[in-house]
Amino acid sequence: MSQSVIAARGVRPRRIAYQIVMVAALLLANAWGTPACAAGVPAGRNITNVASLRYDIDGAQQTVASNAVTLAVAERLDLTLERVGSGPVTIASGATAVPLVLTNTGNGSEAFLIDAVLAAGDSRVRLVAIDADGDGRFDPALDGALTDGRTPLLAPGASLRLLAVFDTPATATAGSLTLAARAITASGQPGTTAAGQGDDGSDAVVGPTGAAASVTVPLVTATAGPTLVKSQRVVAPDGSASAVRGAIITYTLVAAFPGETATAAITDPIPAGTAYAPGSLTLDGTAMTDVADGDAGEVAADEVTVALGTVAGPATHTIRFNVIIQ
Amino acid sequence: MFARLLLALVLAASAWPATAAGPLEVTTRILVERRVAARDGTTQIRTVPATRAVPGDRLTVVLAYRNTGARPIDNLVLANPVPRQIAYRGPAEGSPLPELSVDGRQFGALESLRVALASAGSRAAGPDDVTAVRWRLNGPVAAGASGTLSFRGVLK
Repeated sequence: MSQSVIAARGVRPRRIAYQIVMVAALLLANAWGTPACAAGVPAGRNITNVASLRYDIDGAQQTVASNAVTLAVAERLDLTLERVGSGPVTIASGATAVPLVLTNTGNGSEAFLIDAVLAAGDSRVRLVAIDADGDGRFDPALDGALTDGRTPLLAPGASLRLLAVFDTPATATAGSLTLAARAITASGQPGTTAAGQGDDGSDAVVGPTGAAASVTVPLVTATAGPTLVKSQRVVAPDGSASAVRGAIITYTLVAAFPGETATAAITDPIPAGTAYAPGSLTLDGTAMTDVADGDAGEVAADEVTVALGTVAGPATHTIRFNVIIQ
Repeated sequence: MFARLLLALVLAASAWPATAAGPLEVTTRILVERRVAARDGTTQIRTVPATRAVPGDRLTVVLAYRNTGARPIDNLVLANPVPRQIAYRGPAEGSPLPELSVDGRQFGALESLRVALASAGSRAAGPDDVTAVRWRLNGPVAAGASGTLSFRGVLK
């Protein structure tokens, strides 16, 4: 490799005084022409610095090279482990897959060890697989399990989609899943060195991440479905609560939706021996017409229907209507 | 100008061995910042000569010169390409401020430099754009005198 000259200043030679242009050439052995990737200069490269000096003595030109100093680029061991998605994972009887992305943020090719541990709960870790098609779902025919929890070698900056798959019995209880990843070459205290264990025989050095990362995923049991609580209040013509002819019964239905619920509709039959009090239907305190029209309420001969459509949970809706004891 | 100088250097290098003794010696070193645990439990940052670095390490490139001759040297100019694997961060503590270049031709303060855009126009240059540094010493280097010039960078 020839020495390269980047810049100099033109100075016309003069007699007696030295006219000197010193040119430092920083030579990068094996490195020019290879773009640095996001993870940094690849491990195993050398940076050699040679400063050279040029000067004139009485019009005669001479050069002197400095010593050559070489800096070897060691392999920095770093990684990130991130979950795809957020929040607790709802578990139900059967298999559940939690998708993750492992990224080699070091500057060398490295394999990683993945450990999945369930804390509390009755679930059991089945395997950690490579999400071959990246769809976040476990497909046994496609998504191969890691052998002894080891990933293949990942190039610097490369990511690997993983699936932590665990099985839950019918009597599922809440718990948490912790996934830990660490570089196989070395991990722990940043700066820890594994001499000669890096790419191309370079030293491997544990980076700022400690070459380890973990993600904890809370697991919750499937939340209960919507609930409906009905209550009544009777007001007799005399002001008492006696269920006598002519007394008005006010029914209150409180519908609770813990999660999003599609095509939610509440139907309540009008009790025998009573008649609906026209115009008494309300939803969350707002009056609705009795006929089928733009609002959610409709009263037929023998039942009250309130169609809520898709309810974004968690939400609570209150329906009230009156009937008159015949 | 650049090509002519390069040609002159190549001719010069072929005509005179690089090891020829001269009145001006230059020594280069690369230092790496290391965090060292002190006895009192604190972490100290030391800049030490090193043969190994990892991406993200803070480096200092040092050029030390000495006039070993009997006569003063005038018009000393030192130009130093910043390796593309090293991002320029500034002069090292105690070193004179170098002139900077983003193209190896035009030198000046960083604020005065602009980077041509692929599409059209240009933008203000930042430290990451620096490709070369240069020092021009004002006074002569007297016989026996020495000095150091250095700049800081980060291994990409």
